[in-house]
Amino acid sequence: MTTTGVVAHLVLVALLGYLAWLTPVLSARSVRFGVRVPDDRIEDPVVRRETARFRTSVLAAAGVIAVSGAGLILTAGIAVLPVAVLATLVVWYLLYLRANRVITAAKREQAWYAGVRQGIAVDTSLRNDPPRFPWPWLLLPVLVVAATAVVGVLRYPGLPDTLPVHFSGGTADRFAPKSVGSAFGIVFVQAVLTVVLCVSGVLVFRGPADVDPARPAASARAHRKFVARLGRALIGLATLIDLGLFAAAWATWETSPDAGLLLPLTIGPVAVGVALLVAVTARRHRDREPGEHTGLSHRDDDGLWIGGVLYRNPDDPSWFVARRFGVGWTVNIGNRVALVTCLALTAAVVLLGLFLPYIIH
Amino acid sequence: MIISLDLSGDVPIYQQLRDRVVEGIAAGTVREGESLPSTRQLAADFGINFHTVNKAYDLLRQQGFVRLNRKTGAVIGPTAADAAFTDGWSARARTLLAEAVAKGVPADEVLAACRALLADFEEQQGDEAS
Repeated sequence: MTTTGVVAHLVLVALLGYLAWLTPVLSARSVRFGVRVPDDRIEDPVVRRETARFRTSVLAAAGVIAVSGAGLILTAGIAVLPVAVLATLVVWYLLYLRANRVITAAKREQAWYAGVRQGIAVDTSLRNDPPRFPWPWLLLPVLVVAATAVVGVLRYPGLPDTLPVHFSGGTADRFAPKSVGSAFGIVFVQAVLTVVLCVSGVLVFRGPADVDPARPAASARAHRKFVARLGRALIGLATLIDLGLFAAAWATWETSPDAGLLLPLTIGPVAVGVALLVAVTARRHRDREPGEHTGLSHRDDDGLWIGGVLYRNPDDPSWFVARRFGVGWTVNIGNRVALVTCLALTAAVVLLGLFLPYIIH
Repeated sequence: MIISLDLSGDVPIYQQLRDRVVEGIAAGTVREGESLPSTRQLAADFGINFHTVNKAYDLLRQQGFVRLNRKTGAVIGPTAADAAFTDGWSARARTLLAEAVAKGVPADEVLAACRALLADFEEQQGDEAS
């Protein structure tokens, strides 16, 4: 049990450490540690020094947390695991904040934006001829869900009267009477996850693009490429999760399931899917096409971002804008209609989640 | 069509937007019959007030570069140059050329610059067509 704990700990710290290492490539070229910089300052000595310092510190901290966490888990037990994860996240954020402060100070003191032509750019072809969602790819997850359902229907008559619904340490420890709900629960989970992931994929194709006015053609091309890859990665993730759940469903339908084999069969595909998503995200800002220089720089929009995460621009009619860090969008809290709608929807979902059990009873 | 707007310049944004669309038509990056994004869509993509985009589209319609249609939005449809347009355009060209002459730029250089600009539009149109 502790060995599993140590392995899980090392894997988690390695994954988080890797993501932290990727921090500089998880935002646009002209956003360095949450600070908008002009086109000619992207490779500024201060930015380079802070990037190198950030990465060295992340490596060192991840190493220390990995070793000390492993020692703690061996002595104090697996309960320490969340502490190690939390410590990695806190260190990641503090190092990020430090780099952000130093670059902000340099930007202000050296007046990086003095005399810089600030601009905004749009590629109208992203609207008139938007990148197309790879609809045929949807067959993959749909086929896996269908196969799971068909296998379930075929096996249903021969299933025992009680079915295992929870596994722990390699053996089933909780059972439920045989019913469509207990036998096909996993198929429902598969269907819901597939729909959620594929809808996110479709939304990715409709989402706003942040076109860099310093190199608009290259960045619009890069956006198309990224969206196409992300859409396929999301469908891939759905397929792989469905395959993992197929293995889990198989376990509930077996009279004596071999959990030692089934656990990796369930977790393995999910891990591959997540790795795929991380790889696509990490490659996003790697395309270098320095041939294009319009002389414009992305406008200094630091003032529109509260804490680097919340976007507030009452002049912007957008409901959602691309996030500055990582993948996805964030609501424009300066747009009242958008803010109220999103808050109301969130409240509705939370209330539904709280009261659903009472409604059903 | 890529539209870049310079926020640090003196030229108002709606004017820049109007200018970029006209240049796009000349260079063939937007064709006759093609629609421009809706005002709201374009304003959201730029992150600017949609009244600004409205103003630019209105200007383009008044000057006969686009047709505004309730169903299809703003469609590129330049109307042929009439006498009023030629007069107005000559007056503006006169001011523009006067600036160069007043600064002492030789006449053949001014002509060469004009030819180069026209050739650039033609070349881009050729690129777009191929």
